Amino acid sequence: MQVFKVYFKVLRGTAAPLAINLCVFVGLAVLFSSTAPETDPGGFEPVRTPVTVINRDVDGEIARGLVDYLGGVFRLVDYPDDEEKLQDALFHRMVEYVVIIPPGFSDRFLSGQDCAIRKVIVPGSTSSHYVDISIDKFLNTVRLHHMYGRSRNYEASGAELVALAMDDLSVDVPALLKVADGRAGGDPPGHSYYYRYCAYALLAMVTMGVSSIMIAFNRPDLYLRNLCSPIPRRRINIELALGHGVFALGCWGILVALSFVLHGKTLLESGLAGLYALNTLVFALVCTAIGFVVGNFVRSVDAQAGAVNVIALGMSFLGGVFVPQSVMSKPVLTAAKLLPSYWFVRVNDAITEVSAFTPGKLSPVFNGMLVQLAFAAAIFSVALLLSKDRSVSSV
Amino acid sequence: MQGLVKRYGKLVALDHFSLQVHEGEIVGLLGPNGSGKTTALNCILALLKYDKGTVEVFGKPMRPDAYDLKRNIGIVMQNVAVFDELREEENVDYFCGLYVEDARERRRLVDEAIDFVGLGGFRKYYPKKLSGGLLRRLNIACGIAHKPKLLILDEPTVAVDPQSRNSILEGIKELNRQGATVLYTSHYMEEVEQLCTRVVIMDQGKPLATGTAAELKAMIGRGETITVETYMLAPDDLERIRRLPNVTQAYYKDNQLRVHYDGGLHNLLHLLDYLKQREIPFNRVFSEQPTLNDVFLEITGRHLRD
Repeated sequence: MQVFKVYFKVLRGTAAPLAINLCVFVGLAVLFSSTAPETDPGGFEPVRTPVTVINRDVDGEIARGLVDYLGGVFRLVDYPDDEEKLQDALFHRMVEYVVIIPPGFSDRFLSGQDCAIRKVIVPGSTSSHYVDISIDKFLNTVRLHHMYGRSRNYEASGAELVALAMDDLSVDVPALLKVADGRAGGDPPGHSYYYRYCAYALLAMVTMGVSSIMIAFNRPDLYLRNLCSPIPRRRINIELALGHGVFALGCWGILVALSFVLHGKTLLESGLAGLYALNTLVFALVCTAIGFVVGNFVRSVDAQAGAVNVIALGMSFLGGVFVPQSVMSKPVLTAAKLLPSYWFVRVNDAITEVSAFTPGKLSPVFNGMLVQLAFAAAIFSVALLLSKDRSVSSV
Repeated sequence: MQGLVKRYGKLVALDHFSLQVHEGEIVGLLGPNGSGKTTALNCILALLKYDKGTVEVFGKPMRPDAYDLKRNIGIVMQNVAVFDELREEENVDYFCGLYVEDARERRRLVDEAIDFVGLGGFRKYYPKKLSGGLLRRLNIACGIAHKPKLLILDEPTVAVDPQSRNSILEGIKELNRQGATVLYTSHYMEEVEQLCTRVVIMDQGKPLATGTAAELKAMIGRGETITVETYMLAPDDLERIRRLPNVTQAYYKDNQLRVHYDGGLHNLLHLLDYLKQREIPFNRVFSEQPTLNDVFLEITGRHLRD
């Protein structure tokens, strides 16, 4: 296993570019995962808008009831009854809505006279509409009970009306969120983005590493020196292939482990971690084949760096790694179908859409993986064929 | 090698080339560029298929899969063939490891090889940090670490300073004393003359002459050349010198008299006697024996090669 043992020592020469690629990828992954939506877009979480109530009808029962009701729905912030301070609070967004209940409001409300409540809001605030609706709801409920009592010749007190209204408004209506096709729609989760960017990381790292080894072992004099040794060429190739496999597996392992570090919770909750990892493993095999080609046909390290960058960035952009396939033009998508990265991204997106492990849901996933495997086999075959021709003619 | 023929299209690289190297010999293979030296070595190592002939190493046919034979052959390429990514010690260990599986034995052989070429102080150095001479020595260490019985060296001292060259040549002699048979190609005649017990001069894929350096020199029938610095040599004196015993050629130019001989004894004495007798004053006198270079040029011709 002399060749296998030396494989990782030779790889030391590529440690710096590999580390840079990994760092760039980790940086991108952290950046995008922090901007990608982590919560279920179908979920609902109430927001308590900061509201200040200036109650100038201190003794009025309806006014007090309104304050209590608003206190239950919104976050009441205390401010003195000072026009300037209230304006400052609104300007600095300390509150979004100021309710001013005028003196004698309760009496006027019960007697059916005009009794407008003043409001001061932050311009363009959408949450102020919810405050308007809540105030209307409370007063309408109180008015309903008041009118109903009168219709029965019963004059309920303000306290009674407030209690009845509060009772009505405290009833919760259960809501069931129906999600079409098992998912809540919207943007894909962060781990889906992460695995999509893995294509770039794998292309850059695996291609660079594998091609570096092939370039080292294909240097004409080293090639001949190895050929003069008592180790059969076949065994050298097998040990090299083993080295490529372990290296690609190592890169894949790092990326998968990193996915659990960054998105472990959502990834495990989705139940799709295995499929994402499998798709990435298949793509790692494709990258190994590409690295094999580059290493067999590129001679200098400078040319290799250029080739790896062009391949990694080109395939990533055209395959839909950085730009979603949904926004790519039809001709570009047609051409992209000739790239394994396109199929990787397609499978990745298909995995994100999987809601149940049924044949119907899984068939696009496994079909895409098979296409990637076919790409890997084709690239390996062509590279082997051409490299055999060349080695025969060069000796 | 017996009657080896190797063609590249219409070009005949080896034309019924035969060569025998006996155990314990250091055989120098000399030839101008394109004469077929490297092709011959590649055929011996089974790196090239040939059209006709046989190659046997240690009495057995040499084939690409003759791994038991390859185990006893060491090769030092003309170009330095080491991994830039490995340290000096790791390079020697890798190439030794292709031949020797036992880790402890390999460790010992690697240490010996590194000490042998005098690279003990550079074990942790990467090849890019080594000078040209040190690199050549590393190249040799990689080829000899497994203690081969047959060592093939293809111009191992190209672009090496005199000190490193001397060290390399002494090392090869020591390996030969330890029992290695050596096949050596070079363009440096003085190296071959100093090192090899037998020399084969080849050109256009054919061996032209074989023998020891002395035998080859005798083969061209040229003796010593005497040069005398003198300022007054009349034309009739030059004519008389030409008639002295064993003189083949004599000419006078730029106050230097040069006389070529085809052998014989006491040539210098006869010439100086003549000059004294004729009272011709002279200063410095030089006597040169023919070199292997003269033999090489005589046999392969003086026209330029690619």
